[in-house]
Amino acid sequence: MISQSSTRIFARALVGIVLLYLISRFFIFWHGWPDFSETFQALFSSNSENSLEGNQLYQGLALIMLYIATFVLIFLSVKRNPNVSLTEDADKYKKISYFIIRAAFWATFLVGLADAIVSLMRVEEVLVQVVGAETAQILDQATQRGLYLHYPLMVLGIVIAAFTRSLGFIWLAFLIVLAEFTIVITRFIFSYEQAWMGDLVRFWYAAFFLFASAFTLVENGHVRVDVLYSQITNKKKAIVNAFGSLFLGLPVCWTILYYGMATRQSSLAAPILSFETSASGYGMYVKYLMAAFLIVFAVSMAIIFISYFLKSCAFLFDEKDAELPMGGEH
Amino acid sequence: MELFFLALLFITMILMLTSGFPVAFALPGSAIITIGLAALTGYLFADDPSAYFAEGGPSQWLSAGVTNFRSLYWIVERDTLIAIPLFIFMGIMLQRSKIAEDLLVAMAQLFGPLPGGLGISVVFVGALLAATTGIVGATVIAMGLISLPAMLRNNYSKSLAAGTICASGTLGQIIPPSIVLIILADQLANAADQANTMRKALYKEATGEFSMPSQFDVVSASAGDMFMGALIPGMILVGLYMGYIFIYAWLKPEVAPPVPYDGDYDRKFFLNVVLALVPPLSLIFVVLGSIILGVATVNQAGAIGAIGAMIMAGYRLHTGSKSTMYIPAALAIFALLAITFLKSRYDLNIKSIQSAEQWFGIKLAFGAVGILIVAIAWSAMRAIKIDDTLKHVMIDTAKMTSMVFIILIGAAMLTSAFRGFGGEEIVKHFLTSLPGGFWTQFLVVMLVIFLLGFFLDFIEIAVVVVPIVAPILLANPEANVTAVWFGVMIGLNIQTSFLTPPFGFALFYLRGVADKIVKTTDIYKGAISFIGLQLLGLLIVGLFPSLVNYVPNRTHLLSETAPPPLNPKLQHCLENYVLEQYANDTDTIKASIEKASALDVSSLPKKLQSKFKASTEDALKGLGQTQAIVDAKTAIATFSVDYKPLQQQVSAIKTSISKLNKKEESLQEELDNFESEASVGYAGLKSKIDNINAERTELSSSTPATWEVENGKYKALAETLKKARRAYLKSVDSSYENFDEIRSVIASAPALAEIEEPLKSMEKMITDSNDKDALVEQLKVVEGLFSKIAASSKIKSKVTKARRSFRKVKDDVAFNEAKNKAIAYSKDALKIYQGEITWRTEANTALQADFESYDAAIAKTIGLRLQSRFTDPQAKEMAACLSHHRDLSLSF
Repeated sequence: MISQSSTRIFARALVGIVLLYLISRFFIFWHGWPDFSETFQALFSSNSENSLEGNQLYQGLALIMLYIATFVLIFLSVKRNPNVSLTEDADKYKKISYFIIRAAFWATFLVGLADAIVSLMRVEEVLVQVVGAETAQILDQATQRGLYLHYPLMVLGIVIAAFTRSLGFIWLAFLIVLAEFTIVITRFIFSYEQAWMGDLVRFWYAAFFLFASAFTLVENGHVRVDVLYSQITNKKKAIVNAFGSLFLGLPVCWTILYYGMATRQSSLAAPILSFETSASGYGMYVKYLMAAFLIVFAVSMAIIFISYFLKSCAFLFDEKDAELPMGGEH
Repeated sequence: MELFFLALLFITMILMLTSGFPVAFALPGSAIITIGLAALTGYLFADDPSAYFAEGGPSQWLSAGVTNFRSLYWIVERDTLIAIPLFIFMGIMLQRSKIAEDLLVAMAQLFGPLPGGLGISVVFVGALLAATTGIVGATVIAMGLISLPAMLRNNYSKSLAAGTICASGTLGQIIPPSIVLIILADQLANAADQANTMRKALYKEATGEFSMPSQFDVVSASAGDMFMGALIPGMILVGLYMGYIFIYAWLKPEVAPPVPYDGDYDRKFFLNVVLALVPPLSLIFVVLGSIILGVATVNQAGAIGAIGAMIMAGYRLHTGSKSTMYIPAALAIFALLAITFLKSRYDLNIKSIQSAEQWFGIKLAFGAVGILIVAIAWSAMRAIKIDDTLKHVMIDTAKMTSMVFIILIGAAMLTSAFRGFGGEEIVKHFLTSLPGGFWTQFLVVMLVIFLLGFFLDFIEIAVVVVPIVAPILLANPEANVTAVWFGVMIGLNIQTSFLTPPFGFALFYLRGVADKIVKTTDIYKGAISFIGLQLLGLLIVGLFPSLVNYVPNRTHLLSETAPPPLNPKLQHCLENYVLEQYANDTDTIKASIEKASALDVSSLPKKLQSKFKASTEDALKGLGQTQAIVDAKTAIATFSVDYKPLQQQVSAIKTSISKLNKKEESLQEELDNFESEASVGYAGLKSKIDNINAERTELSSSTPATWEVENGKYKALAETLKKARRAYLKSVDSSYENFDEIRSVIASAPALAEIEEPLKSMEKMITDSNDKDALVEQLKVVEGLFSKIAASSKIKSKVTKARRSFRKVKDDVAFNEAKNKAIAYSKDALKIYQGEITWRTEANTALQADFESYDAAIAKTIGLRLQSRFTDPQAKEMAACLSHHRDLSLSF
């Protein structure tokens, strides 16, 4: 019989893998640490071509140790607090997912605004006057602008997210309307339209529907085929949701995370690592972040699916504060 | 084996969908599971994970899926999808602020006293409001809650009331600006591209020619096109619904009795009605109008709609004192009027400010925009403060947008898996092997979509089915349907499906909110007559594709960026138009040409005189050649009556043979992989290939014996037509080209006269100058004067030479030498100029009027191809002609 605490360990491990995967990608891509497969080959293959140089081997081992240590910690933390209910854990993960979304929203909002202003000044050739030649040169290059403008703003976004409690991302709906309406005004009244204006709308719009997905799932906003679903008992609904979260939802997130970032050339990793920009010369320099949106989507969805899975399990285990996570009857 | 996994994909998908897990994840989830299983079995039993894929391997298809996810917002071509959150924002804002409800109440009061009036208002409001959200459930529920009780209270028959609400709720799918039309357009544009590639391959195979003429291209669809195409069919449906309710109520008054309005029809009543009706109606007209007139893109129109809805919510939500209620809206209207005025009075282009006056105008415009921003901010503040309306609107927009887009993402993975297991080829094979050509394929596809409509929402069908079947149907040269028409037919079809008992979506939703006195059978009964109307609508639109195609074509051809008459895609319609003109007015045209050739053109130089003579002669020649085209066309038309079935039969045989060829090729490749003839399986493969060979021989021998001869005859006829056409075009084009040249030369006389002064003063300018660079600049300015004057290059080249004299000047001596040279050139220039201006002025006075009247006589026919754009009536004729689906099968 599956116990509650083993379910909690399982769920916590699933969350841990997602976060660890991101951390390991950071070390592998940014610091050139060896991939898992490289480490394993170096350890177990006799072929000297596969061996890693001293330092690299330790880095690879450190990553593996990080995974093992995390799993041990997860195991211990659950065992030490055996009386936490699944629902409480589910809420904790929901909060983590919402925090990720909120941080991503603030980062998107700040970066979008700042980059739009810089792009405006650059295309109107006043950038040098405003910020000086040296800074202007930094802002002129995608990599530099990313490192010295976007990254600090993203950190600021995370800080703001830590001190606020609102959903955040819903404001993107209004921001998209305003950004597009600005195009209407400048184009029809002043015959003025620039590539960065369209880029800003696209930037926020992509963030909008991807960030909204986790919240939509919690609010039962993702449409279901309810010919049968509306007829079955709540227990069966909980089974459907638990099963679906594990075998339909999570694989989608993992496909995005894995195939998007398997190597430096993968479709999400490549643009991020190269600070890709759009082809239109004087647009914004944020295209690479639009690839990162999909990662935010995958991570937030993975964690929310785990939360959803726990909630459904809580219902199946007849926990007293459990409620059916599908927003009640419709 | 890939067939097995394709079936598994379907079974998994159906199971997962019916389980009730959200569609957006059930679709990609089942795709990933199936790909994973296929990879695993491949690894276990064939030692190769990609063994059970039609092509490629598991990681390739999964990566492709992830790249497809990204492409949703990564590529600029799919930007129209941005309009979706904007329109959702607008629709929800209208609903949340109760403007929608007011509209329904006002309409009911206004039309209630008519027989069936209440029902008619429900149809009207449903059509307008559902349009902005396009989600069936939301509309049916809202209408069911508001208007069903009102109708029942007034003794409407339960079935009529239920049917009206269900049908009106589904109207929003098809009436622009509906978001499902945007999604369909997005999918169809992609499908049309693929269809075009397929058709090009077909053309190459059939004719052996390398490139397909662009007039045979598949006509694609943008979101704007979809909106315009769906406009008339939508109105037809609304008309059918209203007409039905009115006639039914008139014949049987007890089913839909008039609802008398209790109050007085006084000023206050009419003021209320106007306030409730006019703002939302004008907003929707502005949004649609700006798209249809080609002024704004769909996205921009969406932003206008969203902001407009918020300003309306600003006064509708206001509960405080009456005196400040309308201030923000009034400010906005004032600002818009001011902007319109300023725009007509000043050039407000901010990038080219040329005068102080223009700068003044721009400053005023800034002021007006400032007022508009204040109005928007004020309305937004009200929407934020009162009942948290803005927050709820944003939340609802977020949920609905995310729901739509994550399905789009999910379907991308499914499509990827479907391709991986070779599903596309199978569907293509199945459809093309159906007997009866395009229309059977079309009906089968429509039936499948209809059945899917019982289980899936519009968006799922659009993103799952359309990418698979649309390229095949659109590529068919026989029916040659436009993507817009196909999209509208799909829309009407799904809409009907949503209404059909026992599974129709709309019926479920209404059942959920309707009172218990309304029995399910009432709802079913009510829906049936509307299904009849839907089928009638489908039939009308199916039989008259012009109803769909005309509006987008017309907008396209009347727009600023309309293609010129020379555009190859327009040649077929242009020829029909011109031939018709000839048929009506040959004599008049001939008389004008003869009159023109009799003109006294002695004022022209010899060379132009002979050109003019050639021009009129060519015109007459061209006129004589039209009959040949008409004859050749008639001949082909008569011949194809018998030829076409034969051609179809043979082309079917050819297709089968080319399929066999492909099969053989792949088998042969496998065969080549064997090391020796003794290997296991070699003999089996060999016999398969032999079978194919036998089948092919049989097929080729089944080609009718008459084919060679008949095909030869057809080719000869087509060649005759081509020759006749070429000869005619050569005559008329060269005729008008020459005429146009002469005309523009003499018409340039006044412009030429204007540059007399600068030319005359050039000599003095050179003599007086002692700054080389400044002089060169001045001469450049003089050169620039010629840019708009026809045939002035001789004079200009002298000026250029004068300027170039200074190129290598380094010291004063050289400068003076160069000056002398330049003066000589400027004298030359003046001399040539004087000769030119004399004869041009003379010729202009003598001939201008005659030339203009001659031009007017031939511009519609002989000169049509060389006009810079169509006149408005011509553009409309072209649009009408282009709106028919032309059978192209004989050219393939």
